Amino acid sequence: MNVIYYLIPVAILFVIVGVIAFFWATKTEQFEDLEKQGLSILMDDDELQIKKTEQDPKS
Amino acid sequence: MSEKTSCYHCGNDLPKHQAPIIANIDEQTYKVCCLGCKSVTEHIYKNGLGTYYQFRSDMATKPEENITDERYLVFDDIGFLEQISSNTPDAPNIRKIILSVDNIHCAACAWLIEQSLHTLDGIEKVNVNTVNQRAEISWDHDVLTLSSILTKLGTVGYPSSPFNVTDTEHKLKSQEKQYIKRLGVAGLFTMQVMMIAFAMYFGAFSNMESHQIGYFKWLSLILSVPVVFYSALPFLFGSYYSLKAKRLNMDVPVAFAIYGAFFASFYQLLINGLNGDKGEVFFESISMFTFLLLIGKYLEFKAKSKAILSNANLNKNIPITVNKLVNGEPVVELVKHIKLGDMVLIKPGQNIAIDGVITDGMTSVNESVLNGEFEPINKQVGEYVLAGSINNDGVISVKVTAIGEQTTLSKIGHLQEEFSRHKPVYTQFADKIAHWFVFGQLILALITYIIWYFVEPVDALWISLSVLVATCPCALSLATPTAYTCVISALNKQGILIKDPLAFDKLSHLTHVCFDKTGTLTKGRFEVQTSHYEQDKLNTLGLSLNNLKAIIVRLQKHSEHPISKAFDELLNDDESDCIFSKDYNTQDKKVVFDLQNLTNISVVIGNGIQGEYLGGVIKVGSAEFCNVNQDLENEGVINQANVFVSYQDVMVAQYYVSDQLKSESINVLHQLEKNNLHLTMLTGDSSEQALELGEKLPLDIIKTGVSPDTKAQYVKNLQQDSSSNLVLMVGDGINDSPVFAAADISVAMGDGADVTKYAADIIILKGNLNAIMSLVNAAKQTRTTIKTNLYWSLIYNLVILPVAMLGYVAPYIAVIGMSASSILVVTNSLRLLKVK
Repeated sequence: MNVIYYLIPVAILFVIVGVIAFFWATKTEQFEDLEKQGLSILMDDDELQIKKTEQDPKS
Repeated sequence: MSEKTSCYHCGNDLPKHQAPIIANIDEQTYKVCCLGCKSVTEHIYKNGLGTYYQFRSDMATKPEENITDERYLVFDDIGFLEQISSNTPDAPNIRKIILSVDNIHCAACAWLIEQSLHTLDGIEKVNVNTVNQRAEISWDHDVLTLSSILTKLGTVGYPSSPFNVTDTEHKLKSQEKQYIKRLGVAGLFTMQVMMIAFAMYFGAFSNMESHQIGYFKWLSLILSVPVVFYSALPFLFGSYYSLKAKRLNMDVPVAFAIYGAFFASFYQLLINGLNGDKGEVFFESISMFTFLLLIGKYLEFKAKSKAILSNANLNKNIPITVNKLVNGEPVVELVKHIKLGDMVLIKPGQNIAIDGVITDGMTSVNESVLNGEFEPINKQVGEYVLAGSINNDGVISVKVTAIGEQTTLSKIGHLQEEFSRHKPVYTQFADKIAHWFVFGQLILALITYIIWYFVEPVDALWISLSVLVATCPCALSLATPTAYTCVISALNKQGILIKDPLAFDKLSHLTHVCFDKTGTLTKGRFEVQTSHYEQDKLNTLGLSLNNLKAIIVRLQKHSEHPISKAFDELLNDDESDCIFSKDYNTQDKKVVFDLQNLTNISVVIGNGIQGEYLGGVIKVGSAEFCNVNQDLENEGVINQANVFVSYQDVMVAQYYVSDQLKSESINVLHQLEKNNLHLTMLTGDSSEQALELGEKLPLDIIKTGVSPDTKAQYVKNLQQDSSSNLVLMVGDGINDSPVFAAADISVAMGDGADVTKYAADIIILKGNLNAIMSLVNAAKQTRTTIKTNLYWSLIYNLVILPVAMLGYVAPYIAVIGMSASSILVVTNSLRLLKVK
């Protein structure tokens, strides 16, 4: 049981790293536009593939 | 639908009686509605950006037909560039600019803009924000001009203009970041504290050693420090300011509970050291409490800033450039360089940027921005034109009499500020309770402490803290904000943006509703109401009905006059089978009309349009223009006819063209009437038609021909008549902004001018009047919910108070009671998410 005396402080360190990462993300405006970033992975420049699937996207 | 009838690019209906326009891309063909869409679609595919069509979640906006490059050229002026863009210190040729971009609908738009700009040489970085419709661009000024960037954006269908981020916006942005950070910290650390708290809850059943419990308690203390001293600071500041203003608000007991419980627990830890069996700590409740309250606060802030930002995108009514006449030659010049007395040339379709007097030419102008009426006003030499209005048909030279702040447009803005300063004060129901409740609570806690101090000094602190926690107005303080947050987000989904929750609260006390006419009760555009054709005369002249309609539609295309737009739909009215273009040969339908036969088209300002068809003059316009005065009396087919058509000087058709009521107007007004509301129509229109239109509706009072100032004064008088009078104003134009400021609650219809939306408390995005009913109903439901919430939390607090004061409530029971009542209140509020 005594292991918690070391492990919990280590866990706290991880939380602090998480908080720093979170602050950084806020500062670099990553929460500005939540919609765009989610879709950006889908939209890429591999054109050839697109043209094949581009038969009739609408209707 | 097997056959596509809508445009591939913008989703508008394809023109029915015209050869379809086809965009050719490699082997694929796409039907589009106009040349603008054709060029945009082809451009997008040519650049390999076709993915856009796959991923977009909304149709594109119809682009302009011809994108002129020259209007952007002025942005290349280096002096101007210095003002609108910034340098990067380490690379002097790289400039950075923020553009406000129109027509962004979805993430696919952002992608399209970014990708298409990257095809240009010299682009360093592009970042498009779909939420506030801006693009941040860094580019190499030596390689690429700003005008070519703007032109590129124009060709893919996103007209844009340089944007200056206002101070309010900077402030909002940094505030939002603060909120996110505080929320994040509260969330992350609350999780840790709760984890440990759970270990302790279960530890109670499995004989945890005393020093282990002590260790956990000290850990909880450390973990809750960031929550209390970072995340919970807004509550501390809030209570500080309210105490300074000698008023108690909800922040006061919240801050008392958080900081009081924190320091009491801390004190308990100090005196007990690592001996965990003694003393009670509340770190997990404090953290949880802070986190939950912050979520509510953040959502409220978010809804508010969204509404503000969506309207901040530049006052587009005033163009930045004008054509200045230098020695009779027009030169493109920035508005800020124009001085009083300069001569300016204004072409048809242009916005007018200055106030001035006409020295040459005549025209008709649309002053809807200033007076709400879109019926054009004829202007001749010697008459004044005003900034913000649109030049319809003539070319005029204007001598500048006022610029910038001195223009009538700006003065209306000042009027608005003036009225908003004298707005009646209104305090929220919850605020009133809070003040006394908090006061009583603090007194009672103090009394408990004093009494117990004499009875049992050791228990005094704990019992008084129990009183404070048990009666903690969490539920009370959650009652209002959670209800608002839920209802605001529910309404948001219906396209109703609430900028001011306070105004929303007032809705349930509404007594008077005032409407603007044009664009609010009516559709705000001309439509052909009744039409009459002289069939036999047409036959004698050898002109078929469909031919005539086709000619009219074609002629009207040459005019910028708003009435002419009414005829766009003429051919779609009935089963006419007319076809325009001669190279379009369908199997059976006759080609009846050849464009080439229609020649010499000219616009006669203030009268109408004329052209020659197969040698005969055809005129469309006013009665005098078409020489039909005497005919009118004899026949009187349509008593209000205002547009006539003559061919070879014989009147062949007449139309009654007017603005029409929105389909839902009558219904909504009847419903409002049933709610015992006084309905008034305030319109700047002084014509007979306005009165007539008003009589069709269940209105109590109709005021026509009122200026922006009188409108505001009228509302003010209503408010002064009785203190219980609460006035709601619904409108759409800049001319409504003073009355918006004066009214208790203002609602702007979405298709109105930007400035109005900025001034309004509530914005209806889809311009549908039914939203007013939804608003009133939602306000009523919200009020009942808040009331039940308040009653519940008050009853709970009153019941537990004496028990706690007598010392029968252990602190942990107080915490459970507090949480349970909060959960109940939140759940009750959540029902509002389904509000219709």
